[in-house]
Amino acid sequence: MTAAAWLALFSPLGAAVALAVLGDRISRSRAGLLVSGSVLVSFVSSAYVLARLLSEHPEQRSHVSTLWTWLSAGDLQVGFEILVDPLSVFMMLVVSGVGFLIVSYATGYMRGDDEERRYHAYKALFVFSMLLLVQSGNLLLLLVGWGMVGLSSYLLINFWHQRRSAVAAGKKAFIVNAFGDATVALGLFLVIQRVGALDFATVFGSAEAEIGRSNTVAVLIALGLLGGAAAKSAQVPLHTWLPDAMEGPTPVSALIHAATMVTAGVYLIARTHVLFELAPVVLHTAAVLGGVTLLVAGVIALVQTDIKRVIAYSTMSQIGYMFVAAGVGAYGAGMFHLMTHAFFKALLFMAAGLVIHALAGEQDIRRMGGLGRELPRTTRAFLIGTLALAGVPPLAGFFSKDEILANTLDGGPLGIVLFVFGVAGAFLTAMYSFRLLFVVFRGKQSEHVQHHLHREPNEGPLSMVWPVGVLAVLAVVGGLVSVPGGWHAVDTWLEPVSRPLVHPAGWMEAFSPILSVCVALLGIAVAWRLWGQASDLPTALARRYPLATVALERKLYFDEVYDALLVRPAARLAVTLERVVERPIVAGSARATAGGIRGLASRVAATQSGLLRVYALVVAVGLATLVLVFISVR
Amino acid sequence: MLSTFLVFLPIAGAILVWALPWRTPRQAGGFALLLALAELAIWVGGTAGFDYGNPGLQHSTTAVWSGDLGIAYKVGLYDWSLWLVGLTVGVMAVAIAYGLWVGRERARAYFGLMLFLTGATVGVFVAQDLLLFYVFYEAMLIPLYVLMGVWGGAGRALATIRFVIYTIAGSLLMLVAIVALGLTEGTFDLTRIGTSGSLVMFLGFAIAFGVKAPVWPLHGWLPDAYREAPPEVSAVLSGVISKTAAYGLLRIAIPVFPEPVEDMRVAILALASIGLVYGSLLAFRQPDFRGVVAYSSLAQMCLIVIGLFAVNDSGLNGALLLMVNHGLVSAALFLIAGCIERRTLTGQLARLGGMARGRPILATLLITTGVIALAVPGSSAFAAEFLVLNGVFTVGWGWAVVGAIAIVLAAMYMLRVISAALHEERGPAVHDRQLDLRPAEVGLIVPLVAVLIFLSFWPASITDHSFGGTPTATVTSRFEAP
Amino acid sequence: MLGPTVAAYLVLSAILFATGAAGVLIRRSPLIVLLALELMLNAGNLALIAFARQHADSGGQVFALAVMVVAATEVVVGLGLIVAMSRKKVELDVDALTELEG
Repeated sequence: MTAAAWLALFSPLGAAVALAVLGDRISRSRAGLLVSGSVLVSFVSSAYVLARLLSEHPEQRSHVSTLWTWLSAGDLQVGFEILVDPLSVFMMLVVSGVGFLIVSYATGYMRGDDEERRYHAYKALFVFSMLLLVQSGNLLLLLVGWGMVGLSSYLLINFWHQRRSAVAAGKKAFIVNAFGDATVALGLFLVIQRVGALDFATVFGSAEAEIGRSNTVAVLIALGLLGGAAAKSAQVPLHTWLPDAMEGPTPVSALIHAATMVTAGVYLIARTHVLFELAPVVLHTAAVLGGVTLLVAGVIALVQTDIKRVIAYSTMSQIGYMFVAAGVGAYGAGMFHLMTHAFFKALLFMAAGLVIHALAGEQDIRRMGGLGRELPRTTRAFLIGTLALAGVPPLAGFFSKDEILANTLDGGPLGIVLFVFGVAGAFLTAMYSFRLLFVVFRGKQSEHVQHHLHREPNEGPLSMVWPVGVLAVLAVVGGLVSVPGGWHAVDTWLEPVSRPLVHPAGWMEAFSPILSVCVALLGIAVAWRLWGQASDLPTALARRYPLATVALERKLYFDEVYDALLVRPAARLAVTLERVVERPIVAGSARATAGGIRGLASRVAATQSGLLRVYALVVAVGLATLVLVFISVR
Repeated sequence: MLSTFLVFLPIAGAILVWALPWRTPRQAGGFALLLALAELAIWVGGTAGFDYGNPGLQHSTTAVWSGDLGIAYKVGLYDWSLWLVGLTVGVMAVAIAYGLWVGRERARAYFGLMLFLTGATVGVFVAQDLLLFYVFYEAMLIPLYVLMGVWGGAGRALATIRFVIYTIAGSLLMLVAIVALGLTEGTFDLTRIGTSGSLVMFLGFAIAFGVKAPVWPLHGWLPDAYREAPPEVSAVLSGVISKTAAYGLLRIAIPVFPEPVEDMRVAILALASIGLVYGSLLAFRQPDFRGVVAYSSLAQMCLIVIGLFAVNDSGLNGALLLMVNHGLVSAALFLIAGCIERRTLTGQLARLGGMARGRPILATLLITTGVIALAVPGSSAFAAEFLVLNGVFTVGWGWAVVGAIAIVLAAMYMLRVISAALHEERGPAVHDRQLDLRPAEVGLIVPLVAVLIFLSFWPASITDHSFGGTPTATVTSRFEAP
Repeated sequence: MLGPTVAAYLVLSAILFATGAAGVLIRRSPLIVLLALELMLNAGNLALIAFARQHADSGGQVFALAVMVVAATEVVVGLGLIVAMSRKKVELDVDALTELEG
């Protein structure tokens, strides 16, 4: 079984290496096929592993396999090891399954790009990194996968590297994530110091004994992990890179910046929940971060005008929900939402990709409109995604979001607050998602659309259409694995790995869906009133509250604050150091030495009068002195 | 015999290159390259028969020079210095091949000096007698002065003078410390010398090695030297020669002076931490490719020093791994810089840009080396830096926090270089006529990158095969087998 | 053994040596400097012979003979130089010869 897991891990890496070595000796279409084939191998292997795990007793579903010692220092030995257990298999299936669909979609989307092969190689590298992240059997290897998904995300964001904005976005994403990597590493140092090992079994087994509960060390470890999780999952205040990351090709946004990588933070919390539970303060902080993010992102999404950025903010907001779930201890609910979100958000991005494709690269929704009649299939896909996102029953988002909301109700006073946040977020979600739907697909066609729309039969090549279809089906039925009051397949499956801390009562499971559906319908109604029909209400509102509008359009000034607090002071420090310290050291030191020697030499040279008898006198006096010294010393 | 052979094969080769009447420069260069490759092959053969579980001296040769003074010709290899010798012979072979590829003028002098440099540097890594160590240490510098001063760029004169003044001042301090140490201990034999509590002697060694590494603020010679030397000499200088300083700290300063190390640790860690952040910040400000690599070398050497002065298993293993890793990374980066400069005639980042388009091999190699240099998790540099910071973390949390900040800064300056050279619009110095890397250049750089990737998959290939598996015990026992 | 003690010879030797040294340092004519040098050498010879007598060891006398030979060759070289100087119309004044000035 572990052999199949290793195969799942290494198959995309093999594809990436093959593409790097072959260069242009492999045709573009074969390159695409190679990568999607390798990801399919991963998916099939993961499914096989799942089947094997299902046949085992729930408590025995955990297998470690080590290939070699990756790193060692004295007593510290870290293996290149994977852990196969319900949580990792769950993630493997999501990553390789959604990954396969998106990679297949990308073979159509990227067709004709000059550097298609490079794109496919990066994508394969990403899938490998992501699988490494979720399969890793110890914290260090997890950090390795963690960093490598950041790397492949960087490579793919600035894939179109002639664009200055893409390069800048890539750097920003990498550096924010490097910050996250650093905090995780610092947390790991503490773990090593206390536990002396990094593999999950040892760390989680002896964590309580070696680290203790709620003390400084426990809090710092959890904070380190949370720093990494927040950076990777774009939670406030480390979220600024995600909207910019939309510079990458749309399939990248779908796979990395919606379905898989950005949700890794939730996986991290679920995986290391033992460490987080030792510091409940930090766990609650995670929940609060999630709650704040889901509101902030939801509000900003209301005014953004780039189709992908709107979806990006929506991604942040949905991950906020997952953080809320993980923060109150409802790990299964968080992972469930992670899965359904991967379905419907990938669907939304891919449908958005079809729109962008049809409009020859246009992303500004103000230049769209009235596309519903022209692109009926795309519209249907987008509608399904929007309904699922807004949490309309019986689509996938409804079940997962309401499971989270029901769980927060059991989370004490903080849980109640978060529940209110979540319900408000549901209202915002419905509003911004339907705003997007209405603005893009209803109303009058803009001039841009009339000029640039090129309608292909079936709205895109088959390779792009069928993954959208599959995801649309998944977005409709994917939620049925867990039904309130009925069964909780995800929770049950993950129970052996991450036992939830909250157990919502029956009334909570009934109350929260009803409330949130009402709120969502209200949000849709408001969106209809504002954007669903021709009306000047949005502009009137913007004119009435100019400050709020500008603040939202500027994304609440997070970028500006970072610029003023970190970027510019660091640059100033560097300039000052160069002028005040470096120049004297480099230029001064050598000049001082050379000048000193020259001055000394000219002074010594003055004693050379050329008068022989002066020399003789000096010799005589010196000799006499020496003789006197020798005589007197003896 | 292996150690002696590794030292004197290239030196004998150097004499042959100088003495024999070569008909063409290519012949002399080809002969030098052949010898360098033979040296590399011998080293590879040596790794096979090595006893990695044994922390003691192996392959040693001793010939007494002066019994009264305790001076001897004594050379040998430890399982950990083996890797540094491998780094030396590997990078030198690549550098000689690069010199042959670009066709350096005055070939006999050039290739003879490169071979002599190889032998002397290997000598530094294998010498087990303080005076012998000093002789090799100085012998290593002479060819560098000439290589930099004769074959360097436009500003080579000033750069060479600075380098000479700094290194000679450092060497003299070391000579005094060596003589004082040898006379007080009654022997110059490093394997037999006792420990000393003398702070002054320790500082003599520490400053000498600090100049050579360099460690802030003794780095005044560094930016010009790395910019003006020929690219392959810069590669050797930052890849290999700087490691002799780290080696000296690890072999002499730390094991022989346990008490002064304890006393001065905070001061040294502070200087190295300043240098780490300082080098990273300045690397971000440099206008040219080589300047960035130069200051990143400063930062990396400071990180190595931090690992060494943590003096624990994690720090020592990490420092050793980082030495090998940084040697390969900076050699590859300087050679890539050389390849870019040969095409565009400039290293100014403002005049570069957009080189990735149409040059996939250059782009792939630069990005791969760059991301390893910035220690993306999963790279060998990450493994090394993780161990170093983990090591210093147990000394004090603050040091590791500073190190972590510096690693984020490293991401900033390396990404800046990658983007400035490869991405965005084409710079004024870049034209379509400039070709992608030629097969010969690929053949030079790919081996370095391949070793780095291998180390990324298996960093334990070094950490598991060094110090007999017990770094701290080995260092505190002054490398004697128990 | 009659006659003055060795101390008397040494005093005389010292006086001669000092006279010679003063001559070398003070006089400007190379000829006189050469003479003064001879005086110093002979002061050394006197001391050597005096000690040889005292210790009844002929080594000192042998040494004195060797010094005389050296003195003779020195005079030859020195006078040759002086003659060469006067032939080249160089002023016979040691203070004028300052070509070694730094």
